[in-house]
This record gives sequence, C-alpha cells and structure tokens, in this order.
Amino acid sequence: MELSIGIVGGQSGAFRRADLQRLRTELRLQDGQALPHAFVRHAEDQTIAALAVALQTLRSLPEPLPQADRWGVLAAPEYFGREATFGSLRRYSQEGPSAISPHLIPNHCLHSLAGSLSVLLGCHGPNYGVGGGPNQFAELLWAGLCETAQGPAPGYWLVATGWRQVAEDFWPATAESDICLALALAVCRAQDCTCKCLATLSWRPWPTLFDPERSLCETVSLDTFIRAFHQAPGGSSCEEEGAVTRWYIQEVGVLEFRRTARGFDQETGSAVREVAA
Amino acid sequence: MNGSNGVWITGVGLASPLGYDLAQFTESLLAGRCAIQRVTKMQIEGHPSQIAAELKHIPRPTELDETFWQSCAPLEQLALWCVVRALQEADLWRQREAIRIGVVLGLGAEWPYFWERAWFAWEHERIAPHRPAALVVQRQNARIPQAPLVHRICDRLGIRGPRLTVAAACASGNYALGLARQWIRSARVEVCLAGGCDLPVTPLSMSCFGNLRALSRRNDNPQGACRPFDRQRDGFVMGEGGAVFVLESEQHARRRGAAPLAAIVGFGASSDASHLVIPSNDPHPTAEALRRALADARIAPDEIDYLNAHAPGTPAGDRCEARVIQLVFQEAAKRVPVSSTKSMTGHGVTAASALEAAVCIGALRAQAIPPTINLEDPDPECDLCHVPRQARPAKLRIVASNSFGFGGNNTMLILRRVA
Repeated sequence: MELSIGIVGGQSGAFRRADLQRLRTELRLQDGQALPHAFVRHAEDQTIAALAVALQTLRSLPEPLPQADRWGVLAAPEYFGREATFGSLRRYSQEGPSAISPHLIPNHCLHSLAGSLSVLLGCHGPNYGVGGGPNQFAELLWAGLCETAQGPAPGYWLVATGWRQVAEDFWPATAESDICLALALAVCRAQDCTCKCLATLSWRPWPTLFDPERSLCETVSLDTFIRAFHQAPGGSSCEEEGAVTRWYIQEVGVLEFRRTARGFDQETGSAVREVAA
Repeated sequence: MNGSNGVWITGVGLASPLGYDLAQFTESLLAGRCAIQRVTKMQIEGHPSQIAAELKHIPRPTELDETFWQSCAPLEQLALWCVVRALQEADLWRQREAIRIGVVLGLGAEWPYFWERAWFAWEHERIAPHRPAALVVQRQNARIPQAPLVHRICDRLGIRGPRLTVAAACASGNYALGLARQWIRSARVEVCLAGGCDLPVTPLSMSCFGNLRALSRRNDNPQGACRPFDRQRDGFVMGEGGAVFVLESEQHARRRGAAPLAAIVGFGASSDASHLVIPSNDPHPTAEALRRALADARIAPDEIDYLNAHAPGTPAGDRCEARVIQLVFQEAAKRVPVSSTKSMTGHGVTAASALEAAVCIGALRAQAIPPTINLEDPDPECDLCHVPRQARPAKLRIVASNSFGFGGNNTMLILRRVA
C-alpha cells in the first residue's frame, strides 16, 4: 500500500547562535504578541529555530491553514537539550540538587519542541517528539506520513532541527559560528486538503523484506531534504529525476518528494530559503 | 464496538519493581504491594524527594551473551529484556528475522540518560582514577552511543522493519501503542513491537522534578507517599520500569494460532495547547482525547468496566483529570471504577503508560481491579467511583487507560478482552 500526503507550505532556515539569541526577543507570534517571558528564558535554541520557520511558513501561505487549531505537531530535533543538560550536570556537581532548574526537563527533552510549538501555535491535535538522535530525520518523514494519512487531525506540522556540525567531544563546545538548521512543513492528507499542495511526499514499501546487504540504501538527512527543497543537488543519498527526489531508506522503503507544477517559488510566497545563513 | 481491523496484543515483556512478567506484576498489584522505598541507586541526600520505586535488577535473557549484556547501559538492558521477552511470549522469537516487524518505543530521555551516565563516569574517573576493577564495567557501559537505542536493539536482534522513537513525556507509551496499531491496520508491518521504557531515578531528574515541587516529600513514609485522589496528596513518586507489547492483526494472529492477551480497540490523543507543565484549567481539550478514543472504539463511556487513571498524585493533576472524567463520562462517572496504580508502581514517566497498559491487560485476565492504595480520605474535588486500598473482583470486558504528559499531552487507550 502506498501512502501520499500533500505539503501545503514549508520553510527552512539556517541560524547562527547570535540569530537565535536575537530571535528570542524579536520573534512575534501570529497575533503580533512577543514570545512569553518564560519561553524566551528557558527555550532550547532548536525550539527558537523551529518556531521561526513555522511562523515564517504561516506568514508565507497564500491563505490560512484550514482548522489550524486542530492540527498536530511532530518534531524531530537532534541531540535536543545537550547544552542545558551538561550545564546542569556541571552545576549539580558543584552546587548540588538545589542548583538544577525545574525548567530543564519541561523545556529540554525530546517532547519539548513539539509541545512548545503546540502551545505557541495553538494546535490541539496530537503532539510528540520523534527520533532525537543522529540521522533520525527519516523517522520524522515516515511518522509524519503515517500520522497524516491516518491520524485524527486535519493537518500536521512536521518540524526538524539540528546543528550542522555536532561536536564529537564528550560535552558540547559551542561556537558562534555553529549553524542550526530548521525545517517546518505544513502537511495534510492530499485528498482532504482545501489548500493547493505545493509538493507531495509519498512512500512505498520494499516489495520484499529489506536485504541488509543492499548498498543502495542511505538514510535521508535534514540537510539533503532541504537541498531537495531548494532544488539544489542532493548528493549521493538521493536519486533525482526532474521534479522528483527519491530516497531509499533501508527499514522503510522508498520516500519520494515531488514538486507540483506550482512548485516552491517566490511568486507563491512559499519559497524555501535560508533565513540567516 | 470496533470489530474491523482488529489489532491483538499477543505478547508482553515487562520489567517493574513489582515483577518481571505479567502474572507476577498483576499479582503484586492485586495484592496492593507498593514498590516505593528510600532511593539506594544514587546519593539522595540533599534532594527534596528521597523515595522512588527503583528497578534494581534487570534480568538477562539467556539468548544474549554475558559480555554483550555487560557492555549495555541499564536502559538498553531494560529495552532488550522487554523486547526479547515480548517476542518469546508471542512465540515469534525464532521467526523474528523472517517477517516485517516494526518497533515503536517511547523513550523520552534517551540521550539525556546517556549524557548523564557519561558525565558521572567521567567525574568519578577524574576524582578517583584508581578505582576498583569492578567499576571498569560501569565505565565501559557509560559511553555515549553512536546510534539511537531503537536502532541498536533492532540491529542486534535482527529486526528489520521500520523503527521509531517517540516522546510525548508521560504519554509516550500510549502514543507508541496508538502508532503501532496504525501500522498494523494499514498493513505497513506484519507485527509491531510497541511500548516504553524509562529509568528516571537519576540525579538530574530527581533534582528537576523535586525543584519543580512535583514530587512527594513524604520521605519518612515511602509506602504511604503516593496518594492519588487523596486529600493529603503532595506529589508523585518517581518509578522505573518498562513494558513492550507484540501487536498483530487478528487475522495474522489467528493464522499462526497465537493466543490474544487483549485487543486494542480505541486510541485518542489531543493537546491542551496551554502550558508545557501545568494541566489546563479548561477540561475540554483533554476531554477531546477521551472522546476520540471512545469514538474510535465505537463505545459509550458507560461500557468501560475499569479506567486506569493517569492520576500521579499531584494536587492539580488529579483534580484536573477527575474533572475531565466527570465531563466525558457524565452520569457514568459515578459507576465506572477508577484507580491509579501509580500509588504502587510510582510514576514511570516515559514508561508509565506502557506499564499501565500492562496493568489493564492484567486486570482483564484476572477479572479484578487493582486498587489505589493510600486513598484514605478522597478529595471531594475528585469525586469518582474509586477502588481504594484493596483490589476488587469484577467482570471486565472493556478497560481504558488515561495518560497525560508535559507539553499538554492527553491520551486514552482502550482495550477489550478477547474470549
């Protein structure tokens, strides 16, 4: 059985740490309000990046999302909360339990990004985190396809974030030049959606059980997916054919991203672009 | 009742301080045993809450060799135990490499868990470099893994279907079961393993939840500390464990002669979209999750024979849940028995809803309702049909489990007995 969903809007961004710091105070929600004080203070950097691209997507849509308050949110950050965790561990070792912020787990665990977007965008559909580790972007697309096709909400936000270079060291060393990638896709069941689809994302299974020796398979990454959005060469992990980009994912099957004739371009206001690279 | 696309649970692997299989776990719960004690796994002095239901031992499945086992961190051991036992119970262990098996695991704090272990191993090394040889093992399994846990487990066991880590805080296990059911119903996999595991008794989580004032501070009375729906409740108590279930379609199970433990007939989820931590004062968004589950199961509220409440024992959480149950169940709220087994198991956080799905299956099989222990003086704001202190025999056909979590997450899972 093949699965297919429509992408009705999307934005990506690449943010330096300084950009994220600035966005904490400069970002405005849909109603023009500044971000809540507690959020500005405690949110993880990846949450800020995700919120920025989601809001950018909303602003770029030619018409409002249908029943937006009933949408769900699936979010796949990478190594979410690493800096805050190591900072807390250092404080714990030096000062003991009383030095640990009660905001650590609510704001810096895998569920937090989806939960934050659900609160700030006012989405009452299901919200949960997916993956969380390296190279788990494919899990977001797979879960997003399944959830959108069969879930209770009229549409879903699929959001992914990650640092372009993750320090291999034991604890994170941060640099001003670090770049945080973020992608937000507004997706819905293609057949139900009243908006025009800018692209489709589809899946078909392997005809037989996956053979682990198959050399074709390489997982889709956030980076290569964003390249496909930009219509830039995607690298070795995908197969490109005109407006179609395919990834072969070993445990899942074939994922296909297909631009519609309308496409992502500046004219529609839904072009995917680097926000602050 | 939703009879089409039936999804059966045909195996369960679990580990809890109250037992390492469904029978033992159920027996403990029906006996009203409480696993909560003073914390021994870590230095607990100086913490606001010093009690928990710790999982002190994880058995090694004989199929996995000792050297490999010792190289795994306890969280990985826990997930492996649950997955292997679930496959064995479903009689699928030998066929696991030949069929498309998916895996959906609720793991809310996988990476923080490994970072924390690595930090304390490093710190110990720095402070005491000449440690006893016995601690070398601990250092080896404190490495930060290169690959996600769900992938490592699948690769190790030869499971080749899609795999997914999900995190919806304390509702993660219910989400995992809901997603796995979707995958089975749409034939994306033949069999799916789903559940949740967590070992949250760590310095950071005990500190964070303690400083959040979410944990009970009844340190001098561990067994009486967790008091869901009681007027004197003062917070939840951390618990540990995990449960993984084997899901397959009714047809698939019948074809291979597998015996069902229960059928999953309904799942509903929603978000408060109100606050990351505090449950919404408006019961309607949470009620939506319950209504979706009931609609999915095509049943009326009064057809539920037992409701396992989320009720962690926090003043606000229990009160809000009671209000939601009253709103959705209406008159039936006075008749449908409700209990919170967190009073005995503690709050397993990411694993909580998976463990409570196991509670529900155990109740269906035993035809008895586990109690809310320590419920001596019910809060009038939580006016429900409680099962206080002692288990109660009951004719159970349909049972449900509520699980809510940070991020405004609300879920309900509905299970049916299969004759």
